[in-house]
Amino acid sequence: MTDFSVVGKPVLKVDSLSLACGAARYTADFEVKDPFYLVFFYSPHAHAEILSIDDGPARGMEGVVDVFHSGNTPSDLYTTAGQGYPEPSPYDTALFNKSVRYVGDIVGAVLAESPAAAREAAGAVRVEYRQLEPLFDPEKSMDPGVPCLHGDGAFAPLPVPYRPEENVAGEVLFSFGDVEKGFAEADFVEEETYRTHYTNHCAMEPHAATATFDEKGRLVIYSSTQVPFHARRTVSRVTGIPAHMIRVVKPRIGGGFGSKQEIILEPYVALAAWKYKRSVKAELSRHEVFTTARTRHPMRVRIKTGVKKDGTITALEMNDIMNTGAYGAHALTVLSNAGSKVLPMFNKIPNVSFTGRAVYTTLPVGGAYRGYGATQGYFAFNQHVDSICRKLGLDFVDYVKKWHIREGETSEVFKAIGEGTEGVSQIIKSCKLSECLDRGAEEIGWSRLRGKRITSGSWVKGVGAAVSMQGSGIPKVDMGSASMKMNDDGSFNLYVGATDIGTGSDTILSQIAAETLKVPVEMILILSSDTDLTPFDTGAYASSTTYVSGQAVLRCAGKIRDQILSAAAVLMGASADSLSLGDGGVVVNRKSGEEAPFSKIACFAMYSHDQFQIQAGASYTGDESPAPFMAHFAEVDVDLETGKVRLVKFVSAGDCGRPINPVLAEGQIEGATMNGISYALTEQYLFDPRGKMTNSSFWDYKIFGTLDMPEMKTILAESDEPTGPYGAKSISEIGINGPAPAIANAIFDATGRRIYDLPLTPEKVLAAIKGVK
Amino acid sequence: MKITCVINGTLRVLDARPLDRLLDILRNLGLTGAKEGCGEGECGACAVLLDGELVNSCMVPAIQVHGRTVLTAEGLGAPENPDILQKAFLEEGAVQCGFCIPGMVMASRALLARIPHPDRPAIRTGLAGNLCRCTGYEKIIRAVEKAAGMGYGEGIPPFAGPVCDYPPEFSDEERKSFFQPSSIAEAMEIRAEYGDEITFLAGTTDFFPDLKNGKVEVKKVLDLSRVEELRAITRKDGKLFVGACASDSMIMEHPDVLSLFPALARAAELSGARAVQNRATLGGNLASASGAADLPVPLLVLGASVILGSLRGERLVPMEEFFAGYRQTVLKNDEMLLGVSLSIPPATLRQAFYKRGSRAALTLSRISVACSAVLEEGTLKDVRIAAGSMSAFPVRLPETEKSLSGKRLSAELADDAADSASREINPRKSGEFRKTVTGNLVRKFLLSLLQN
Ligand SMILES: Cc1cc2nc3c(=O)[nH]c(=O)nc-3n(C[C@H](O)[C@H](O)[C@H](O)COP(=O)(O)OP(=O)(O)OC[C@H]3O[C@@H](n4cnc5c(N)ncnc54)[C@H](O)[C@@H]3O)c2cc1C
Ligand code: FES
Ligand code: FES
Repeated sequence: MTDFSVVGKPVLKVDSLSLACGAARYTADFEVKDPFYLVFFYSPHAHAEILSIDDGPARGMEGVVDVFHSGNTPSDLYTTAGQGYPEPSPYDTALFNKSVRYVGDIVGAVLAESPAAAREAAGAVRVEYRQLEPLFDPEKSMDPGVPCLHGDGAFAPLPVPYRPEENVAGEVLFSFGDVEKGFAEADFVEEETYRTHYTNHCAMEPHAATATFDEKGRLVIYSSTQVPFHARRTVSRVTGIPAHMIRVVKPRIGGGFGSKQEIILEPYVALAAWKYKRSVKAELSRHEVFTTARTRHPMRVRIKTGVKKDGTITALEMNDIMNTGAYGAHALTVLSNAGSKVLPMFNKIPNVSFTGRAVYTTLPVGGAYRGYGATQGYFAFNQHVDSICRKLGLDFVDYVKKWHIREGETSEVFKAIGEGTEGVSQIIKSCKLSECLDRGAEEIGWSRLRGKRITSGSWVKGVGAAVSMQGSGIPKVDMGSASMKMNDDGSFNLYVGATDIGTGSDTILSQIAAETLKVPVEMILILSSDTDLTPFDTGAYASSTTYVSGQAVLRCAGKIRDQILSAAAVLMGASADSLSLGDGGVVVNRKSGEEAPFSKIACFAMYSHDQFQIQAGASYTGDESPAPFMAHFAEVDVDLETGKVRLVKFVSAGDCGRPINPVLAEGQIEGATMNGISYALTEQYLFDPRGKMTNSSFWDYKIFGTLDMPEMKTILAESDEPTGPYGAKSISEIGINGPAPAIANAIFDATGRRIYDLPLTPEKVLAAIKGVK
Repeated sequence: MKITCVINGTLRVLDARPLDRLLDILRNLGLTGAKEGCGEGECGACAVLLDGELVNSCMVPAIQVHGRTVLTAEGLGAPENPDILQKAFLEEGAVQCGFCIPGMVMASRALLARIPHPDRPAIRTGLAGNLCRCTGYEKIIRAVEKAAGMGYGEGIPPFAGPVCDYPPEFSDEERKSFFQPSSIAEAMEIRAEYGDEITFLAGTTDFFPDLKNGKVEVKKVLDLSRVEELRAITRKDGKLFVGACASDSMIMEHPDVLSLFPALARAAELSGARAVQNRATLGGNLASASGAADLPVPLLVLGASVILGSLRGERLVPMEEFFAGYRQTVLKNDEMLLGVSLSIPPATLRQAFYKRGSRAALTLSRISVACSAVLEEGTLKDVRIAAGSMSAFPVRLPETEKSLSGKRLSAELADDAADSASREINPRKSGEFRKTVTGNLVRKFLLSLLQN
């Protein structure tokens, strides 16, 4: 293996100190002069038509500047999903909809001189509604006679299945082989239905956006966004402000996890600021983040397999109904990922069929969320595999090791589905899943604990496992780019469109550049995500940054290296091929041993001879999307008296190729895993009978804290992905897929009962184990 | 009003409205390290040190900042000269998006000031009120361990005392509706004059969420934070007196409470997390009369009396009679809560408090149970059982108590008691589950008596 000086090292995260000292600034921390404040008001009904809006009293209140609503703003339809253009999500949303479709749907916004004045006036706007029949059960969305939620011109900008008249926001169908024949060949058929629930990203920073103006009168939007370039495009589209008059700047972001891959606040602040030529600020409260922003799509997953006595699966049928809520943001693509990221895992099944429908309901809107459909699919898949193993008396770990996809293999699924459209076929070039399984099993004490039901008082112990794979960007869709220039002291400005939302991508991309140029990371001055200054990038999503944007940086830095060498050749009077880069920013003449420092070369190029700026740009789009792999193991104690599940230990063993920065990679796994654990055990949206969320605060919506955490072990099983920058694949999402099924499988191991619905609350466990003692 | 305080070492005189949140005051000064993640005390992103103690600045009113010392993450160090703790966060890779980190750093400092070399459980408890969605906490805990190992805790100077001894300066308008007495007598006079118009401010941990959710209408404000007498915990004439303004932290750490009333100490320890415990008071917990309040549950089995005071004098109300209905107490409109009085129990009294919420910390009780009993030669005496979170306010379970008193304790009896307790309570929600768990907790207590 090659020796690296920067890659693979726990380089300190470049922005950590300013963050730890409270000096780094997030969107809400920017001071702008005399801003107006925008405060929204929302539908109290799950489904209603707005008959009239009386904003007179609100306009008359002190400090109120304007009231925006469907009566006085553009009504063009768009999607809030921040995706490539044209988006695979339907255009079914207006800035202010005339029909409201969930409790929390934005009805209007008050612009005022202070947040307090805006809030008070928001409460004074009188809206007359005609209530319509709500639709809460996604499994009934397509039934005849139920209300049609988008009968008003909604359309899909891409040629993808979209049938609003049936409440179908997206459909994914594919099959290969002959499943009926496969079932006929099987010794038995296993069929189960699983359900996953509504949850929230809970990024610690609530959504915020500030619009202001530069000295030339251009609109500058600071936004807590994962997708600055998509945000600029969409803002321009819905507000009519020319794109060249808009600059979107991404400051520090307090976490996203998909929630900020959504263009929510930007068009509103832009519209208001443009109209009044004044700075405008908007921030959501935690309550609003829960009730009005995006969620994880709930899904019903039915899996049916035909199995032979030796464990061979002869056919697999997956049938998913995904609840996209009131609008179809990311509906098609999250749905397709429930198949495309899950089904390749067992690539030797000859007969496969996938039927997925994303349906509208009058509940909160789904969106991108770490894991992106794979999380939902794997909850079902791993429990299903566990069921098969139990029936056959086989060990889960051995079974998965026998059947999982490996290096040199492909799956028909890759070709069959991509992001809602046809996919891209690929061969897996790196896969250390078996190693992950072995090391994880060892760490959890699999052979010592599995099936042993060790008891202590009313507590019984069990262990469970789960596996998953994800992707690294969307092949042939996601594009990242970088540009670079050299300074006269031998440092480099690196401009990337890639969006560091706390993940550490600024650090990792700097490391890739530093490695290529053999300089310390401090010599790379990175600036990311500013639509004026940096080149385009699709944004921080789909696990694309390290792989896709990383390749762009690698290529860009390679061009810079070549320019340095050719300038050095003139300076040193040698031929370029006798020169190479030495450590620490020097060019070395391999024959004479002579060295020239970068600073000298930069000055030479800038000031002395045939002057030019050493600079370059590069873009990259992946031809494939190499999958990271992970195995998760849970050790639980279940209290047979209360149904309480105590997670004792949790092990994550992952293959993300070569980790560019092992500490940051571990951090990604640990964070995703903890999020997945609390998704499995405590988090859930609760609704009243009228569709209103009843637990919209951290009081009642419980995410894990330090006292809840189990003993955590993270293992990196390094591989070398030949298509990745320095062998890297993605890491940021996959860790969230395994916890729920691993814990559910561990509960089964302890109690012999399977929980089919998330979350795995004590109430459900108690109900399932009644009488098991 | 004008308040005088020290922020990050600088003496400041600030204009503020009395109920402005410390968080907004700091942010308006450009100290944006403290963040708003929830505005309700549940995330710790806004955590700072007030007189050396961890608080959530989204729940501290300006009126209570006067005369005090505030320290924020910016006060520890800047990127050019970070302090040891901040550097440890960097070096351990504990910082991802960073939004939670200034609060985490302050919570860590508060912990290390109290316990310079905490073990892992102590670190987890110390940070229990700070949510992070990015890191999974592992690396944050390691950062604290690292700073502790470098002696960071020992280097923290003790709290130096109040900044000034004069009261804050109110505007003429404010003087009519904001009162900050320094004695009980003065407070009672104000209460007598304005009656129902008065809202008391103690630790404001119930007040701020209520204000935000439109549950209180503020007319006149009587701030108790300067009434030293109300913070006392004293032992006299066979009684322990706990003042209304004693905080959860004081209660859970007081040696007399720990030795005589461990169930009460435990309830305080399981309330909220450190930043809340430093502020939340006994009086506020009782006066709010929330069905899920924790302290009344042990107080019910420990035979506590609530002391109410007014210009007319003091009266003692048994804990059982203090609550009058949903969010209602027997407090008259000229009275205030002075504290509770507890008779010192015989050394043989065994007591316990259990709480089950949906999470380990910062969780509202879904089920809470307190029990006390004396076991004399195998026979149960003076059995008392109380359950919280089931109905409008916590209640005793007299049927179950009766079925146990005078009986020989056995595993079968414990099973019967569990059944009896499940039958006796009447939860509004998740009925089956709460009944089962309450019964189990009663059994757990009885079995623990059998064990020694
Ligand atoms: C994040 C968080 C977690 C929490 N966790 C818990 C928990 O686990 N368990 C629990 O029981 N509670 C919990 N609480 C609720 C709260 O902290 C407690 O009820 C606390 O004891 C209230 O005390 P306080 O001093 O903050 O009251 P304040 O908010 O100052 O006052 C509350 C009410 O009491 C009245 N009042 C206060 N003092 C007096 C007095 N001396 N005489 C008459 N009336 C008075 C006030 O007028 C006001 O109406 C939590 C709160 C938060 C924000
Ligand atoms: S902002 Fe969450 S505790 Fe203050
Ligand atoms: S680092 Fe992002 S919330 Fe903690």
